[in-house]
Amino acid sequence: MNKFTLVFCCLLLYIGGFSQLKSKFGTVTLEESNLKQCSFDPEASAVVLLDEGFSDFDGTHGLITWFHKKIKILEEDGRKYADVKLRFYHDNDFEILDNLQAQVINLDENGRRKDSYLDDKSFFYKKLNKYWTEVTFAMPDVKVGSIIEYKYRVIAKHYGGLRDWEFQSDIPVMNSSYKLIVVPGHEVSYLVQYNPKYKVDYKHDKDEHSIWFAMHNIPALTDEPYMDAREDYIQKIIFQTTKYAGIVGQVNYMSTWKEVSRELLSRPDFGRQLKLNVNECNDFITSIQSKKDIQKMQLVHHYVTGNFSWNGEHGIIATDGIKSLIKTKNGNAAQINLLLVNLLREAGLEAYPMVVSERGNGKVNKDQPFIQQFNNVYAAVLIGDKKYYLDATDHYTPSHIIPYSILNSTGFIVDNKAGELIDIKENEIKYHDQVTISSTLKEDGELTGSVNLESSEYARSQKVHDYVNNKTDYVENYIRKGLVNVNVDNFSIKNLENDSLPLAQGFDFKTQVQATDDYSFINLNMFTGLENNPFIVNDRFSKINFGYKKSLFLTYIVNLPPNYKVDALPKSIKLVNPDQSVTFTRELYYEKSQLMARIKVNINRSLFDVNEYAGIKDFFKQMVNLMNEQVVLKKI
Amino acid sequence: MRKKIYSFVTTFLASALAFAQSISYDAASIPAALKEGAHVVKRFEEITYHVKDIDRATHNVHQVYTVLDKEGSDALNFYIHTDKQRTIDEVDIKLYDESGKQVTKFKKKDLNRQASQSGIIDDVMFHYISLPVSSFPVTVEYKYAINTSGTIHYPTYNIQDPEESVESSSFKAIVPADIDLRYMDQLIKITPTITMEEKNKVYKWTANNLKAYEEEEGSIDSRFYGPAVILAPNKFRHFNTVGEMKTWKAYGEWASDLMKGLDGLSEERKAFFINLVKKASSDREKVALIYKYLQENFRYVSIQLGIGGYKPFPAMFTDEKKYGDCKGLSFYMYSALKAVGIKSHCALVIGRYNGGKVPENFPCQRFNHMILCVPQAKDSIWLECTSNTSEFAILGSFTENRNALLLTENGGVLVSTPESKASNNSMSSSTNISLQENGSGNTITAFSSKGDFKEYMNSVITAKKDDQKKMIIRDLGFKQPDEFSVVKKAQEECLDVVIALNIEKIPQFSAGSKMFLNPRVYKLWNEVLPKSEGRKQDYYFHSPFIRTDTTIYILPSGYVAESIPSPVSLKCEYGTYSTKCTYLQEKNQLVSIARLELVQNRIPASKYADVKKFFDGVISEDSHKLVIKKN
Repeated sequence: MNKFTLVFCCLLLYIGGFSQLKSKFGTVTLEESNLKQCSFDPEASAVVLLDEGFSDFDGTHGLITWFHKKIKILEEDGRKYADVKLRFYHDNDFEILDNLQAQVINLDENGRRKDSYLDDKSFFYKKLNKYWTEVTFAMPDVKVGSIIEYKYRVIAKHYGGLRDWEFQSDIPVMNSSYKLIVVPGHEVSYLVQYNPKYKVDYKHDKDEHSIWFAMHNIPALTDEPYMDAREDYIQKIIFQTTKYAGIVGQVNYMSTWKEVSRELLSRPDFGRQLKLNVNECNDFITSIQSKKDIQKMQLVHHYVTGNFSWNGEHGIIATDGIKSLIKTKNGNAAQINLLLVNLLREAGLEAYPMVVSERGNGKVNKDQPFIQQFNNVYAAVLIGDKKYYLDATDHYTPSHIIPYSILNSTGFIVDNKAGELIDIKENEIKYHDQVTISSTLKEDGELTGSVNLESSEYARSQKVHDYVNNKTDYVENYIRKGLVNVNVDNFSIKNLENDSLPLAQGFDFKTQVQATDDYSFINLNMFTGLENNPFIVNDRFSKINFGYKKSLFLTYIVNLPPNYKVDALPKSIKLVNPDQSVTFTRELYYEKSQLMARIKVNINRSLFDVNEYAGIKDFFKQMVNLMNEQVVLKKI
Repeated sequence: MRKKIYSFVTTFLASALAFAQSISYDAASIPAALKEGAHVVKRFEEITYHVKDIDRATHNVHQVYTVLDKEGSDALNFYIHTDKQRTIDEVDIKLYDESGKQVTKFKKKDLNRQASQSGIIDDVMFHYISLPVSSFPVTVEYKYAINTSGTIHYPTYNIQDPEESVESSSFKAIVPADIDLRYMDQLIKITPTITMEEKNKVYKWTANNLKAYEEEEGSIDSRFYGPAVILAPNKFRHFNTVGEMKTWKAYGEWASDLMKGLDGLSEERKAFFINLVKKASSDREKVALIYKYLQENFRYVSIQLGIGGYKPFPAMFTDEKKYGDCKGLSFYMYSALKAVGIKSHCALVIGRYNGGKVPENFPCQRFNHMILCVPQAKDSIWLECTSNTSEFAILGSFTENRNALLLTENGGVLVSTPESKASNNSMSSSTNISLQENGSGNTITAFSSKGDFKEYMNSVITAKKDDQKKMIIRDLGFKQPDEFSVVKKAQEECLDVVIALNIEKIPQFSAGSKMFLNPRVYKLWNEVLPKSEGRKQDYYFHSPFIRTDTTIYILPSGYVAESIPSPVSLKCEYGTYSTKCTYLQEKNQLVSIARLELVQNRIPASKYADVKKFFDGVISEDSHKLVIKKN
């Protein structure tokens, strides 16, 4: 784990007990009513005064959780927090939500309290879909200074309904606490994810068999560019039931990674799918038997992506199985990738399912065999001593490239023998663009030229994706993006089908160079896609996760007419960040009426820690400034 | 420019004598002309809309589309919605491969269901499925039937979406002759055959072999304004009410009847309003005071309940809750004005910046929003009641220049909402820059904004510091500052905001003893307009506007101006742009002034190329350099 997140784990054993929420509905302290601004996040438009949860059980009901929340509106804009939506999982009557109370507390001009209590007619219950019901209500008479308050109970059939507790939110939180009492025979493990800047209080009561957590004064969490997952940075507790009382005694449930493998492999909707005979594909398998292993892998991957379509659902479980996939030709990611593993094995390759946590799904904690940490399953193939990771729902990433979605994440290969956790990193293959511009300036200031833009590896996959999805506007949206008064003609694209070659995009362009009096200016930042600095804000919470390394080479040749001479050339310069992993090099040459610029940008690391942010931010700022420097020409 | 579309559409209209034909599912049989510029080909369409009586109707749809490439994938997303008055019967979806062989099929039970989440409270449920395909072309067939109780909405016969061609399509409307219907074609010349079948009148429209047309950015939304036939009822039932729609007057009568008796306020509240305006000397002032009270104390919450979104909550309910949707808040404002003896009318309107107008001579239900009109001898007052920041008596791009249906005691009256004026959306700025010899410097810019710009500057003021920084850089076009501050100065008619920055490198670049400065340290205009080649539809800006700027560089001592851009003056029918740069030697200051005006937000297609050229010119002229040099 990175040093900003501390994790600890504890097993809870039950005996018994009963308790209540600590806070009383309707109480407002003097400080709360006087509060005008959130001291630790002064820009906030609203603040959570109190967020309390308490979970207990009883013999008939399973898990019972009480929630109580109080929010103070600090600015007009914060009134939107008075429109409340709550959810519960109604499928199979797994959860019900009841005992809902809500009110708005205002002070009148004499400082007297005026409460508006919502009646039952104000709560709207709406089935969102097969699984979830949403309860919505709008608080009345809300203005700056109002306190809104609500409280409710959720009853779940069993401890599978134990929700994670998030201390942090998109508005600041002053007090957040959660207490859990564990049912007899159960073991619940938990992980606390927090930033040591903030303190977590916790109290473990052995007699009561409870654990209590609290945090205070947590600023709002906001989204940041190149953030790997919001889930990794929010201050929260994650729970998993590791042992429960079954009908026949106690069952250990996925408490080691080996058990996770065993459990998954024994499931009919996972492991057994790998053992099914897929006769329907026999002809195809026979047809590739004579190929080399690498080719076999590519052919099977192509075969599955080309013949079976993905319905857009992620998941590690193939509820409908691969037989149904073969019949209907479409299915979820687990069906498709388990079929992929099955066929790779049929073809004689060493292949395993690998559960993954894709970008955005959050980091996998290796100390915790929590299957909930993963959101999808891919195929892992071992050829020689090299591992390949394939996702047959992705049409654009070839077999030899690791899908972008799992770069810098952890996967778990599911197998009784070969099972292991894998840190998925890519050190060799980059996002690479090479731009070559060859142009001629006419005496009247018209600049014309031809451009060759070659995109390889990750840049290739990305651009093939963009092109296929947006052919009509590709030139407009990707090539000419950010450029004004530049005409692009004769666009051609090559090697769309051959994924081992760079994607070659060629076109001609025409523009008029800017001029002031006798001076003319040549912009070097053409067709690079580097017009903006993504890193603007002063501080950052999350790591910068580019996924891959990146490089850009630009060669720009301008042939000058006899009536122009170079008045000033931007300096040849090299810019590096503190650890030299990010570099920018610019070289300019001017000789015999020919001007040549070479620009190289290299990002040689794909992941940067929060404390490196200042360096990266500064580098990008300087780089954008340098990219905008122009060649000054003077008429003679 | 509409004419152009008519003519090319009619050229390809086959004879009206279309016979029922066999459906072909294989992609190879599509005529080459229909693939041109198309991502989707509508192979076959047969729709029957049957009005059983004033209460009930059925809508049977059978469609076959071939999707030629990935960009046409939208045709593979099937969705229909249901609500209290709308149910679906059967759904039958089949997918065929390139050769026309059936690959898979789906039924109603396979559809996903998701309640609408657009508002906090409504009762719409979506039934949808995204059909997965792994290669193109692919053909899909949809068959479904919808039953409606209530007949306020007759369906529109949408003939053609952008980038879609049509091989064969027909639409049949069956309606009891004594009820009958009205229709209007839009963007296409097409006439129905009309026959009698027992007591029913049967209309049938047919369209074959239509070539694809292009979708154009910034035009009126094609989902509602593409080639189509609009149908409308003469009379209808909606929940437990019955109305007529033959005339705007009648439709307005129905809509205003829904509000009858809901406008009562308690005596206490009436007294409150009378007291609130007691010092005001004119009606206009009174309206302004009450509007201000509404903006400060009420909030907008989307609630689409209560007979399908037409009936407002009683004024007293809104008064107590201090929230409402557009109807609730407009109607509350109406009631409050009534309490102080001022007459006003709720008005139905299309709310959308490129929403277009409802047709004057064809009463139909296309409205989605409500505003309030306070009639005055001169210049009626129009109020947008859902916004806490809108200016008094000024409609923004959401509702300006539309046909609005006033709901009066004498029924509906269709009137035009005022057109936006450039002078209502203005931003003037003046900047002082103290430039240091190393290129760093402080800039102080005073912005004074009105209308749309005021709303934008308001959002800057209320944003968090990090977001402010993004707005300053990305929207306003400043260079990335090391330090900055945003301070609100005053808000009367204009909102005054001062933005001060500390910038490491003010010049665009420096070379040797020279610095190359931009005429301004931010952008007056930085939006590149979509391409103009072959433009067929009018282009809509959000609003007309005026921007003026004065930028003063105080040069470091020892530096003088070497070269400054000559004055520029650009012009097109709808806009003007001028700049002038002066060097004040005695103060060692460079003064750069600029003015940009767009007089009208709707640009006719035929003039669009000029306007595009004009704005490209603005961006390009804006990047001229001021050259200063160390002596």
